[in-house]
Amino acid sequence: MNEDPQILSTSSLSISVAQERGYAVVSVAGEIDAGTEQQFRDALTSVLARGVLRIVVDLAGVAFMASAGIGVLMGMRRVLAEEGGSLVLASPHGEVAQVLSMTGVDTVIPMAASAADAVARLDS
Amino acid sequence: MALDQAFNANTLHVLREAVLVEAAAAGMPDDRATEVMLAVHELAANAVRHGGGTGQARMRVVAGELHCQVSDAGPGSADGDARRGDAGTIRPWPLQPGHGLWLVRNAADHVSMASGLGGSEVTAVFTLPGFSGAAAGH
Repeated sequence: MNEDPQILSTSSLSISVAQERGYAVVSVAGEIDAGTEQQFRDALTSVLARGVLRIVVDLAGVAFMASAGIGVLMGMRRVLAEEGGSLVLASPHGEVAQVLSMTGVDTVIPMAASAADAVARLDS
Repeated sequence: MALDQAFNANTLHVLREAVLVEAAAAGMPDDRATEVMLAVHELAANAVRHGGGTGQARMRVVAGELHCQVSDAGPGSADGDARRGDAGTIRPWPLQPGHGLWLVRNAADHVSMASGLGGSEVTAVFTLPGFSGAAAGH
Protein backbone atom coordinates (compact mmCIF):
# COMPACT_ATOMS: atom_id res chain seq x y z
CA MET A 1 0.00 0.00 0.00
CA ASN A 2 2.88 2.28 0.72
CA GLU A 3 4.65 0.91 -2.31
CA ASP A 4 4.14 3.32 -5.13
CA PRO A 5 5.36 1.61 -8.29
CA GLN A 6 5.63 5.00 -9.95
CA ILE A 7 8.20 6.03 -7.40
CA LEU A 8 10.22 2.87 -7.26
CA SER A 9 10.21 1.81 -10.89
CA THR A 10 13.32 3.27 -12.39
CA SER A 11 13.65 0.72 -15.11
CA SER A 12 12.50 -2.75 -15.92
CA LEU A 13 14.20 -6.07 -16.32
CA SER A 14 14.20 -8.28 -19.35
CA ILE A 15 13.39 -11.75 -18.13
CA SER A 16 13.08 -14.88 -20.20
CA VAL A 17 12.23 -18.32 -18.95
CA ALA A 18 13.33 -21.48 -20.72
CA GLN A 19 11.39 -24.36 -19.29
CA GLU A 20 13.00 -27.70 -19.91
CA ARG A 21 12.14 -31.15 -18.72
CA GLY A 22 12.44 -30.98 -14.94
CA TYR A 23 14.01 -27.56 -14.63
CA ALA A 24 13.83 -23.97 -15.81
CA VAL A 25 16.48 -21.41 -16.68
CA VAL A 26 15.43 -17.88 -15.81
CA SER A 27 17.62 -15.39 -17.68
CA VAL A 28 17.64 -11.86 -16.34
CA ALA A 29 19.01 -8.70 -17.91
CA GLY A 30 19.07 -5.27 -16.31
CA GLU A 31 19.58 -3.88 -12.83
CA ILE A 32 17.97 -5.61 -9.85
CA ASP A 33 17.19 -3.07 -7.17
CA ALA A 34 14.17 -1.83 -5.24
CA GLY A 35 12.60 -0.62 -8.49
CA THR A 36 12.74 -4.01 -10.21
CA GLU A 37 12.61 -6.33 -7.22
CA GLN A 38 8.91 -7.05 -7.64
CA GLN A 39 9.28 -7.95 -11.30
CA PHE A 40 12.15 -10.30 -10.45
CA ARG A 41 10.17 -11.93 -7.63
CA ASP A 42 7.06 -12.26 -9.77
CA ALA A 43 8.99 -14.01 -12.53
CA LEU A 44 10.44 -16.54 -10.12
CA THR A 45 7.12 -17.02 -8.35
CA SER A 46 5.39 -17.79 -11.63
CA VAL A 47 7.98 -20.47 -12.39
CA LEU A 48 7.38 -21.98 -8.95
CA ALA A 49 3.65 -21.79 -9.49
CA ARG A 50 4.07 -24.07 -12.50
CA GLY A 51 5.52 -26.67 -10.18
CA VAL A 52 9.11 -26.25 -11.34
CA LEU A 53 11.37 -26.72 -8.34
CA ARG A 54 14.78 -26.91 -10.02
CA ILE A 55 15.72 -23.44 -11.14
CA VAL A 56 18.77 -21.78 -12.64
CA VAL A 57 18.87 -17.99 -12.46
CA ASP A 58 21.21 -16.75 -15.18
CA LEU A 59 22.70 -13.41 -14.16
CA ALA A 60 24.86 -12.93 -17.26
CA GLY A 61 22.86 -9.85 -18.24
CA VAL A 62 22.75 -8.31 -14.78
CA ALA A 63 25.19 -5.46 -14.25
CA PHE A 64 24.01 -4.39 -10.80
CA MET A 65 22.27 -6.07 -7.89
CA ALA A 66 21.27 -4.30 -4.69
CA SER A 67 20.10 -5.84 -1.43
CA ALA A 68 16.59 -5.98 -2.87
CA GLY A 69 17.81 -8.63 -5.32
CA ILE A 70 19.70 -10.46 -2.59
CA GLY A 71 16.46 -10.64 -0.60
CA VAL A 72 14.60 -12.21 -3.52
CA LEU A 73 17.33 -14.79 -4.11
CA MET A 74 17.55 -15.74 -0.44
CA GLY A 75 13.77 -16.00 -0.25
CA MET A 76 13.78 -18.20 -3.31
CA ARG A 77 16.50 -20.38 -1.85
CA ARG A 78 14.49 -20.87 1.32
CA VAL A 79 11.28 -21.72 -0.47
CA LEU A 80 13.03 -24.20 -2.76
CA ALA A 81 14.87 -25.79 0.15
CA GLU A 82 11.57 -26.30 1.96
CA GLU A 83 10.00 -27.79 -1.14
CA GLY A 84 12.91 -30.09 -1.86
CA GLY A 85 13.97 -28.10 -4.89
CA SER A 86 17.25 -26.66 -6.05
CA LEU A 87 18.56 -23.23 -7.03
CA VAL A 88 21.82 -22.42 -8.82
CA LEU A 89 23.03 -19.03 -10.00
CA ALA A 90 24.79 -18.77 -13.34
CA SER A 91 27.33 -16.27 -14.61
CA PRO A 92 27.50 -13.69 -11.82
CA HIS A 93 30.18 -11.17 -12.76
CA GLY A 94 31.69 -7.84 -11.83
CA GLU A 95 29.80 -5.87 -9.21
CA VAL A 96 27.14 -8.59 -8.97
CA ALA A 97 29.73 -11.22 -8.10
CA GLN A 98 31.17 -8.84 -5.53
CA VAL A 99 27.88 -8.16 -3.78
CA LEU A 100 27.08 -11.89 -3.71
CA SER A 101 30.44 -12.54 -2.10
CA MET A 102 30.22 -9.60 0.28
CA THR A 103 26.83 -10.71 1.58
CA GLY A 104 27.84 -14.35 1.85
CA VAL A 105 25.18 -15.44 -0.63
CA ASP A 106 27.87 -17.28 -2.56
CA THR A 107 28.34 -19.59 0.41
CA VAL A 108 24.70 -20.67 0.59
CA ILE A 109 23.57 -20.66 -3.06
CA PRO A 110 25.67 -22.63 -5.54
CA MET A 111 27.15 -20.66 -8.43
CA ALA A 112 28.39 -21.69 -11.83
CA ALA A 113 30.27 -19.94 -14.58
CA SER A 114 27.67 -20.63 -17.25
CA ALA A 115 24.03 -21.63 -17.53
CA ALA A 116 25.03 -25.06 -18.80
CA ASP A 117 27.33 -25.59 -15.82
CA ALA A 118 24.58 -24.36 -13.51
CA VAL A 119 22.10 -26.88 -14.91
CA ALA A 120 24.65 -29.61 -14.27
CA ARG A 121 24.89 -28.48 -10.64
CA LEU A 122 21.15 -28.65 -9.94
CA ASP A 123 20.34 -31.30 -7.36
CA SER A 124 18.53 -34.19 -8.94
CA MET B 1 37.21 17.04 -4.18
CA ALA B 2 33.84 16.22 -2.79
CA LEU B 3 30.48 15.05 -3.94
CA ASP B 4 27.19 16.74 -3.17
CA GLN B 5 24.39 15.34 -5.25
CA ALA B 6 20.63 15.16 -5.04
CA PHE B 7 18.93 11.95 -6.12
CA ASN B 8 15.58 10.33 -6.60
CA ALA B 9 14.44 6.91 -7.79
CA ASN B 10 15.19 7.80 -11.38
CA THR B 11 18.73 8.99 -10.75
CA LEU B 12 20.09 6.26 -8.49
CA HIS B 13 22.17 4.88 -11.35
CA VAL B 14 23.66 8.34 -11.94
CA LEU B 15 24.49 8.56 -8.26
CA ARG B 16 26.14 5.15 -8.34
CA GLU B 17 28.43 6.19 -11.16
CA ALA B 18 29.33 9.41 -9.38
CA VAL B 19 30.06 7.55 -6.15
CA LEU B 20 32.36 5.10 -7.94
CA VAL B 21 34.28 7.98 -9.49
CA GLU B 22 34.51 9.84 -6.21
CA ALA B 23 35.61 6.79 -4.25
CA ALA B 24 38.32 6.03 -6.79
CA ALA B 25 39.45 9.66 -6.75
CA ALA B 26 39.70 9.48 -2.97
CA GLY B 27 42.09 6.57 -3.34
CA MET B 28 39.88 3.53 -2.86
CA PRO B 29 40.94 0.45 -4.78
CA ASP B 30 38.33 -0.88 -7.24
CA ASP B 31 36.88 -3.56 -4.97
CA ARG B 32 36.49 -1.18 -2.08
CA ALA B 33 35.07 1.53 -4.34
CA THR B 34 32.39 -0.93 -5.40
CA GLU B 35 31.53 -1.56 -1.75
CA VAL B 36 31.28 2.17 -1.14
CA MET B 37 28.99 2.44 -4.14
CA LEU B 38 26.80 -0.45 -2.95
CA ALA B 39 26.51 1.07 0.51
CA VAL B 40 25.58 4.50 -0.76
CA HIS B 41 23.07 2.93 -3.13
CA GLU B 42 21.38 1.12 -0.25
CA LEU B 43 21.19 4.27 1.84
CA ALA B 44 19.85 6.23 -1.11
CA ALA B 45 17.30 3.52 -1.95
CA ASN B 46 16.11 3.66 1.67
CA ALA B 47 15.81 7.42 1.42
CA VAL B 48 13.76 7.10 -1.74
CA ARG B 49 11.52 4.48 -0.20
CA HIS B 50 11.03 5.94 3.24
CA GLY B 51 12.25 9.47 3.04
CA GLY B 52 9.83 11.07 0.70
CA GLY B 53 11.28 10.00 -2.61
CA THR B 54 14.35 12.18 -2.75
CA GLY B 55 17.55 12.74 -0.86
CA GLN B 56 21.01 14.18 -0.89
CA ALA B 57 24.31 12.32 -0.98
CA ARG B 58 27.56 13.87 0.15
CA MET B 59 31.05 12.43 0.16
CA ARG B 60 34.19 13.95 1.55
CA VAL B 61 37.55 12.87 2.86
CA VAL B 62 38.16 13.56 6.53
CA ALA B 63 41.46 12.58 8.14
CA GLY B 64 42.09 9.49 6.08
CA GLU B 65 38.49 8.44 5.97
CA LEU B 66 35.88 8.67 3.27
CA HIS B 67 32.65 9.95 4.78
CA CYS B 68 29.50 9.17 2.82
CA GLN B 69 26.43 10.90 4.11
CA VAL B 70 22.93 10.31 2.80
CA SER B 71 20.11 12.45 4.07
CA ASP B 72 16.44 12.84 3.35
CA ALA B 73 13.79 15.22 4.48
CA GLY B 74 11.39 12.65 5.87
CA PRO B 75 8.57 11.81 6.33
CA GLY B 76 10.35 8.69 7.46
CA SER B 77 8.74 5.33 7.54
CA ALA B 78 5.84 6.20 9.79
CA ASP B 79 3.79 3.43 8.27
CA GLY B 80 6.63 0.98 8.47
CA ASP B 81 7.39 -1.62 5.92
CA ALA B 82 3.81 -2.59 5.41
CA ARG B 83 4.34 -5.14 2.68
CA ARG B 84 3.09 -8.59 3.40
CA GLY B 85 3.02 -11.71 1.35
CA ASP B 86 0.65 -11.22 -1.54
CA ALA B 87 -2.45 -13.33 -1.37
CA GLY B 88 -2.35 -15.85 -4.14
CA THR B 89 1.36 -16.52 -4.17
CA ILE B 90 2.53 -19.90 -3.05
CA ARG B 91 3.51 -18.58 0.34
CA PRO B 92 4.66 -15.29 1.78
CA TRP B 93 8.17 -14.42 0.82
CA PRO B 94 10.52 -13.93 3.70
CA LEU B 95 10.48 -10.23 4.28
CA GLN B 96 13.79 -8.86 5.37
CA PRO B 97 13.60 -5.09 5.34
CA GLY B 98 16.92 -4.90 7.18
CA HIS B 99 18.90 -6.25 4.26
CA GLY B 100 20.00 -2.91 2.95
CA LEU B 101 21.31 -1.54 6.20
CA TRP B 102 22.94 -4.82 7.00
CA LEU B 103 24.85 -4.55 3.76
CA VAL B 104 25.91 -1.01 4.62
CA ARG B 105 27.13 -2.07 8.06
CA ASN B 106 29.00 -4.93 6.49
CA ALA B 107 30.71 -2.73 3.93
CA ALA B 108 31.54 0.31 6.01
CA ASP B 109 34.04 0.64 8.84
CA HIS B 110 31.60 2.73 10.83
CA VAL B 111 27.99 3.82 10.44
CA SER B 112 26.17 6.51 12.33
CA MET B 113 22.56 7.57 12.09
CA ALA B 114 20.40 10.39 13.20
CA SER B 115 16.76 10.99 12.55
CA GLY B 116 14.12 13.37 13.66
CA LEU B 117 11.23 15.41 12.42
CA GLY B 118 13.40 16.96 9.76
CA GLY B 119 14.27 13.66 8.19
CA SER B 120 17.11 11.24 8.63
CA GLU B 121 20.80 11.23 8.00
CA VAL B 122 23.12 8.26 7.78
CA THR B 123 26.88 8.50 7.51
CA ALA B 124 28.95 5.53 6.42
CA VAL B 125 32.66 5.87 6.99
CA PHE B 126 35.30 3.99 5.01
CA THR B 127 38.94 4.05 6.03
CA LEU B 128 41.18 4.93 3.13
CA PRO B 129 44.06 2.59 2.35
CA GLY B 130 47.20 3.44 4.29
CA PHE B 131 45.38 5.15 7.13
CA SER B 132 44.36 2.16 9.22
CA GLY B 133 47.71 1.77 10.93
CA ALA B 134 48.20 -1.51 9.15
CA ALA B 135 50.18 -1.89 5.96
CA ALA B 136 48.38 -0.47 2.96
CA GLY B 137 46.81 -2.98 0.63
CA HIS B 138 45.55 -6.31 1.75
